[in-house]
Amino acid sequence: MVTLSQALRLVGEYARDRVSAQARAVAPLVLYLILFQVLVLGIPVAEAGVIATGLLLVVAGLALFMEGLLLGLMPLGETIGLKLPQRAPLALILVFAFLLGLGSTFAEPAIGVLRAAGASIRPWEAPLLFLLLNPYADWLVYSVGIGVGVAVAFGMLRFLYRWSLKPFIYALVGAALILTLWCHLDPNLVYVVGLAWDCGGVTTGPVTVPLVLALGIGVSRVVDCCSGDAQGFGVVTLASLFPVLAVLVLGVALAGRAPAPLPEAEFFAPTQRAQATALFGDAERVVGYGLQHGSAAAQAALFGGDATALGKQLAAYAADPALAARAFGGREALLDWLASRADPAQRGLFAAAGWTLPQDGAVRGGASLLSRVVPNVLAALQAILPLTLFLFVVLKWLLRFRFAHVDEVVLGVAFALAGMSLFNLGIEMGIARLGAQVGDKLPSAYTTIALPQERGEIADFDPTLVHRALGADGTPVEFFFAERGQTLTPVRYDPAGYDAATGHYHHIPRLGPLFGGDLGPAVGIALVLLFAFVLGYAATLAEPALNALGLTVEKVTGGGFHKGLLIQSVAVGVGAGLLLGVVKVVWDLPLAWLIVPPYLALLLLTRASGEELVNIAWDSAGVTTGPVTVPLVLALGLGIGGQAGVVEGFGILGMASVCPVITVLGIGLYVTARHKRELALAVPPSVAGLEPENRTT
Amino acid sequence: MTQWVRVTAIIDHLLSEAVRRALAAAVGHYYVYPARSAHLEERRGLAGLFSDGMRLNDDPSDVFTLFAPAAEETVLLDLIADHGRLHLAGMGSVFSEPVELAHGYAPLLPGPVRAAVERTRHDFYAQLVGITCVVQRGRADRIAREVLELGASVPTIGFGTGMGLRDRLGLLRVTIPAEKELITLVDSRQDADEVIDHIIRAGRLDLPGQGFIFGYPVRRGLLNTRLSRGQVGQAASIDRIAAAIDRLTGGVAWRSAAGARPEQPARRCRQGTDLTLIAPDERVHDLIGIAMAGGARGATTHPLRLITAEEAPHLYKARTACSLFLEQGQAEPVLAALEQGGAFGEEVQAVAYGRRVERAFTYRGL
Repeated sequence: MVTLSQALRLVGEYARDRVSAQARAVAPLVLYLILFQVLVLGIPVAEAGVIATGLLLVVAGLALFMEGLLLGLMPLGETIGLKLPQRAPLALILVFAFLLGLGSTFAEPAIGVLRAAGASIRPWEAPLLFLLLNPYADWLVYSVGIGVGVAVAFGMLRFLYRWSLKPFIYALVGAALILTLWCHLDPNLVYVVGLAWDCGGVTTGPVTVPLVLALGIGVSRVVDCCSGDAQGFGVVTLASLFPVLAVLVLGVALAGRAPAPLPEAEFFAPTQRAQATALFGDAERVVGYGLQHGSAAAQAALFGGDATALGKQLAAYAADPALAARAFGGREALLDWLASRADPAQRGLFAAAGWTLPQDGAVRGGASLLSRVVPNVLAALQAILPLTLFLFVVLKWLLRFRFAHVDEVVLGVAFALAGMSLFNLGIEMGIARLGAQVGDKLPSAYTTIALPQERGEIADFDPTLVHRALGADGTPVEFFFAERGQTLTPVRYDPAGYDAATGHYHHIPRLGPLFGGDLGPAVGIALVLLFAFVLGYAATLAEPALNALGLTVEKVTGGGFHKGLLIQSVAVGVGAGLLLGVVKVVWDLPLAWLIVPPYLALLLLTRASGEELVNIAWDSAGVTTGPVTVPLVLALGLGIGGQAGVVEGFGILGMASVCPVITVLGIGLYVTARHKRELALAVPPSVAGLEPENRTT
Repeated sequence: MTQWVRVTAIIDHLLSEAVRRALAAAVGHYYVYPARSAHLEERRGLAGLFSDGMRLNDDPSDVFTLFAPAAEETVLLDLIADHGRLHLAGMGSVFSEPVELAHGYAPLLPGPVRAAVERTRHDFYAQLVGITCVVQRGRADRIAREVLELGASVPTIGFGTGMGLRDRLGLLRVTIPAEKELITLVDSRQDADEVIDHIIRAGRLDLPGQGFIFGYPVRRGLLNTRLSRGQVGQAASIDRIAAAIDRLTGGVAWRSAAGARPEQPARRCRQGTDLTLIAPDERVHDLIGIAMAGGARGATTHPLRLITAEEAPHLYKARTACSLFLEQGQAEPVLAALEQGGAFGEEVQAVAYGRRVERAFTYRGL
């Protein structure tokens, strides 16, 4: 028996090894983000305490979650894969596979991610996309879920009948590319392309991927097989491609229900109200949305330019809080609007009706730790528990299997639950925050951005202190000197910030471009592209699903295919994908231009590669966009997209899925070719004239 | 009792398809598992500027295992050597070992080679010793490097799992990694002791929990002698010269560095039997329990796949090979206990083979 101190030592060493491995995986990303922010952009890290706590949670969470995958979820998946083909008829296997796919989509809701990525979509610019993400969001989730379900079922069929993955790739990618080009030509459908390709990447989450991989390994181990190629991969590929097709088809099917894109003012005009109402499902919401997000012209257009009608409507809202909440999408949203966008007259209207108005610019949030913990724990429970229970039930009652190490599996599931809770919490507190800080300010590398959240106020400002100087283009600019520390610094004067009545001057600091713009915007943009590349690379190194894929590949090939090489190739690919995604956003290129050529190249590479490599490389595309990468990509896309004023920021995740396949296939082909050359150089070690039969004594 | 041999072929992954096809035509069934074969490679380019050494690299390989009547030994060796192009250095190895005990589910016992096989007669090295070393995952590269630098032979590394002490710890067992690496190599009999001593030192196998090593007789084989890959394009690379001398001297014995012999005397080692049990995945745990009750101290397992020439749905394909070290005199009772437990029946479909271990070593001499 082991004594307590021995047990503690064992547990201590075990925990130390796991935690240090994850710390090494996360460190490059964190150091990179902090150094870039501090040294290149020159902004201190805000909320450093919260972020540091978050990072510790990420490391601990990742360590627990990975261990949970290896002890609990993956053995569970593999055991089912081993048993299912023996004990269940084909129809039952397919039903199980479909339910697993469908269930995992609902368990790991990617719709939240997609909504966040589509936060800047305006219904007048991309009505169909707005329709898909708002009133038809459920349809979107169902079609993705059905896509994943069909994919897992086809994946099982592939293993059972030993079908090659290549025909599936040709057919699915071919169909998706044709639909993409078709959509590209339609002014409304064009915005669905990015959403569709992003769906492929985000649907396969950190629980689904390892589970499905393990299941595939199990099934293909028991199937009668003549070629012993490392099989068991490919389901993740199908689970990434089927949803792309499903979303494109859904978009085409719903195209008739969305109005054509319109100029903003026209969209809100009463003549278009019926069509606009179709997008929101409620005429009041159109008014509220116009006030919340529309420009002044749009707000004027709401009642055909009749300002008194608008005033009357607002008075009605002020009098009826329920109606107002309906129009603005909730009381909180209304208060936000009052605080941020409403003009003084509108605020006065609500104040007169007895509303307590929030202070202008008051900092909201500052949520307590508990209010952050609960939703994350619930999300982890939702992602892991139903699926695991489903698998346990299938194993116990359908397959009548008795585990030799059931305690280990239960411990693993518990680890996974705890790990995922901590990890999600840590991402929210640490990495997402850090990413958002950099992402917001990233455009300052190539352009001037305002930093409204750092604004300051100067009481009793004396306008006579303002000086004039000659600007770069010959027109005069105004500035004043202010003392900062020991030195006097010139500060640009903005007449709009001066309130003559109170004598207050509101100063909004500006940042960028880097090097004072001396080197032109090209250097700044190049810097942003480089930033995106390194960000993608470093974030991918920390992805748990990729780690699980690497371990599985190593296990199946007996160490012949190295995990390190796979992870490095995928990380470089994700970096390249983010770079292309940023190119799309900065120059607002149509996504079809960036999607079609790489996929065509991929079809050629796929044709040239062996079955084993194709399976592994395509699967790595599905695992790239996980919980570490996605919030960073969103921050990046929103930051740059917000500055560039693009219609939608979708497509970056899609690009981050296609490029890794190219790098993995490319490196795989190179390694194989090199190895073939080496084999070809081998020579018979025989020496002429010597045929020593007597050697075998 | 019929004499059996166990034939092991380690074939480069790119060439294994040909060997698969040849074996499917010649024998009823065989087993295969993936591994990697290590070699040294000269550092080129920038890396070469900053270090003068050789880099350890490896290629994916497939390890084929089959059992056959002793009379078929050379036929199978020739067949595999032909289709794996093993007369070229660097493609892989094939070797045969005598098997002492064989029990098993009747359809999985070896049968004669099925058809007349067209073959070239190869010259095999004789007087060989097989060495298997089990270490913690991640430690194999250091040992592989030592073996290669010694000029012994090409080590093949596969993944395995350890069982034993760990399973008596309850749930605390998860803190001890069960993942192991199995290193297999074949060397000439005269060098074997020295190679084993070097591995013991390189792997610190004399410390607790580091692993163990054992050697067993190998009757004949064609060995992969391409230990290193240097600058290509030369008229006669060092590998080629080395391979030619191997052929002239009839072995790889000449390669051992004269001064490399360790000063310590050969370590205290045990003899016994290595019992290999091949059973369906889900049964292995119970079977190891039976064997442990009969005196086995621990087991190393690795998954392998049963490949049958014809479709055979009733034969379970996902199998685990389990290697148990038994002291002299323990093997027969353990086999009897396994038989008693139904291991070799229709239900469990296990097979067991024993091979004589001449020298085994671990912390406290096993």
